[in-house]
Amino acid sequence: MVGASELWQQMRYLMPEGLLLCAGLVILLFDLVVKKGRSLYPLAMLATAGAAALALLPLESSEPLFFGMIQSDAFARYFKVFSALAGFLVVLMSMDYKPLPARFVGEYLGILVLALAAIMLLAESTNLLMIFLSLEFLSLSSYILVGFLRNDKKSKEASLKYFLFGAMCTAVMLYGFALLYGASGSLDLPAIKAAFANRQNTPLTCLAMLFILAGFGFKVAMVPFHAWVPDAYEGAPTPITAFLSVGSKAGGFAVLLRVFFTVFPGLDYHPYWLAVVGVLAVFTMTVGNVIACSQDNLKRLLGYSSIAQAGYVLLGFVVMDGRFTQPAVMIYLLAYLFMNLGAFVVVIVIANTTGQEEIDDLAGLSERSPLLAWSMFIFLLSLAGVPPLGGWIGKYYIFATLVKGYLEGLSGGNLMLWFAVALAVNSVIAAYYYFRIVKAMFFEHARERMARPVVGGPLLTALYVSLILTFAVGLWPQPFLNWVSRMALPLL
Amino acid sequence: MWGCALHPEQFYTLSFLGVFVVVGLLFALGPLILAYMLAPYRPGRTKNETYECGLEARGDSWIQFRVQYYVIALAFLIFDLEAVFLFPAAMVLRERFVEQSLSLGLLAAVEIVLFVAILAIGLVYAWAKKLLEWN
Amino acid sequence: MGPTLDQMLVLSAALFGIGMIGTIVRRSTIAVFMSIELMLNAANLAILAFGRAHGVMEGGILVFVVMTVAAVEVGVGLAILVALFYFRDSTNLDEIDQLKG
Repeated sequence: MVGASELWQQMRYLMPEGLLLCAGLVILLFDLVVKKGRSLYPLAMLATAGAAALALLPLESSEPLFFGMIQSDAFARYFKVFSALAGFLVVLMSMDYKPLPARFVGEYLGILVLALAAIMLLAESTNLLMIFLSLEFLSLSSYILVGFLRNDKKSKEASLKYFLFGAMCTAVMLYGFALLYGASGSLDLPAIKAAFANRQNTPLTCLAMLFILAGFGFKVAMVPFHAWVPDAYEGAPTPITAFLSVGSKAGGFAVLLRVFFTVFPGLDYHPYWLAVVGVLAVFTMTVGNVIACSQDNLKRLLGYSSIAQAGYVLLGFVVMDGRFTQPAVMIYLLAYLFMNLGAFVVVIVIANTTGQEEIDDLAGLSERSPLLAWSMFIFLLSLAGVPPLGGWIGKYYIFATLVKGYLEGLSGGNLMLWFAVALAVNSVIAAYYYFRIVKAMFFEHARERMARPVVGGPLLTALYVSLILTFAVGLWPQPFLNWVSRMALPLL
Repeated sequence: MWGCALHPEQFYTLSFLGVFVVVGLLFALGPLILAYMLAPYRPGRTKNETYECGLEARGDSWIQFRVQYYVIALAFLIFDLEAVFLFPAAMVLRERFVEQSLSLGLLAAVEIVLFVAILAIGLVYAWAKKLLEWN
Repeated sequence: MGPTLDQMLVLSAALFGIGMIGTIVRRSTIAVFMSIELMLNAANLAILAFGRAHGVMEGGILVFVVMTVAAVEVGVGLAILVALFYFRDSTNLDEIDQLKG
């Protein structure tokens, strides 16, 4: 039996999310007292920065904590740093986002900070109960945040669609949990793995796996479960769109990695897995890229682009080999964090200037604001995977993972080669619509009466941080790669 | 699976259910049938009203409720269900104090208090935002 | 004595199927909410049935949590619906068409 002092000792592994949870509640309470909501921004920045600092402390434990509910290992710590960093940038972006109603800033920040804690909990859960709880925590906060623009009908509508789709996927996932529980007799991930250790794959476990994939696929925007993305991305406040595209996606990938690496290596499922996930990944990126080509709204375009990016990352899962998959996925997500948030910073500035987010609003941006135009250019190049930038490192690693899987003769190697080809073809399609934006910025002339965009301090900070780190991951990848491979899940 | 014959013991268990159904039906229908047989039938304007005494009913019952009603109903719904957790917690609390150490019991007590306190913050928030007022 | 595992699973699968069809076919948002509740409760039933078959209690706790989360989910969902209702006097999904998707 675990003693009280031991439980108290275990609390120190939960410092980052504990800080965020307390900060979230404190912000909500302060909101009742403080008259001006804007004064809560420093508090939220302090909380996210503090959580990032606490998460960087080398406090790890490979032992299960709190009766096996969570495991605060290096892998969880990576996603804690990730979530806190993304949160910090999103708070910076929100400061100058004009449509956000000043009266409700406290509520907004409180829920945002709680959502960040939910991502952290999601990354460290090792029990189906805890996974369900933290996934719902994240989802419910996201639904509210998406519908935050009080007087904007689109925002409410996006929120409702996101909610309905999310609730359905969650229910399907829960049924998958029920089947997994039935097949193994436990909710604890290590215990489930032990139960499966010497058993053949049954239809029950296959069905459970597919159902669970629905819930996680919804979070990462995988193709049959991507329908919410364009609407939610367009209707949500832009900083929240950025948060959804980076934060909740990373949370989904974290739990996907943990569940499928902890539970399923014992099963003889590899051929099914390869076919199902590989085909879904190819569909995901193709659908995302092809539909993105015909979009005129920047947020919708970036939404479809983020579906495509999820497809690239999912390809990493095809090779279920811990040495390759995890570092590839994790480095991709890191690069994606900076380049995508950077692109959304530019979208926010444009929306603040012209009041809308169409590609036409970017016309002649290179004349009006060279800094913004060139930054956007860099972010788009990185998203397209052009060599010296962060996105390229991510894409290269996914590609290399597939080729390595083929060369090492893993089962279904030929398929992997085809998937690699699909990845290359999709990168070319993606380049087309990224170039449309570049064309508008550099080769079209500004419409009459288009104001020069003004970039305030917080947005400028977010822009520079994203820009520097996009370059850093691309030009000096080694320290990041070392860090990422050290933080990968231990192979069981 | 479905059509199997009942075991005598099973039949005995199920017979209670049968008796319950029969008695329940008699109890509900009996007065109605008795009233139908015994009561004199003299319709009139006042007799045909829904309530013989009290306020006269006006309008349709299919009216739109105020949206605010839903807000209060939602707050109630959430707090109502959170109470579900207090019962197992109470069981654990006794077990902890009686069979295990005092410190573990105290820890559990503190946890429950924290749980309720976080919920209370929600209630205070709704109150302070004037969501509970009907105007 | 009581229903066997098979019987409970058949019932649970039927409930899940009805809920699934309901979420896809029904046009009224409230009906979709109810269908989603049905799916969650089907999962609850399956969890309890499996728990009894395995003789473990863990699942019961998950069911408690699911019930609460389902209530909170409905709370958030109805709140969003109420907010949308301020703009439009309908809860019909066909009329919610401001966004293209």
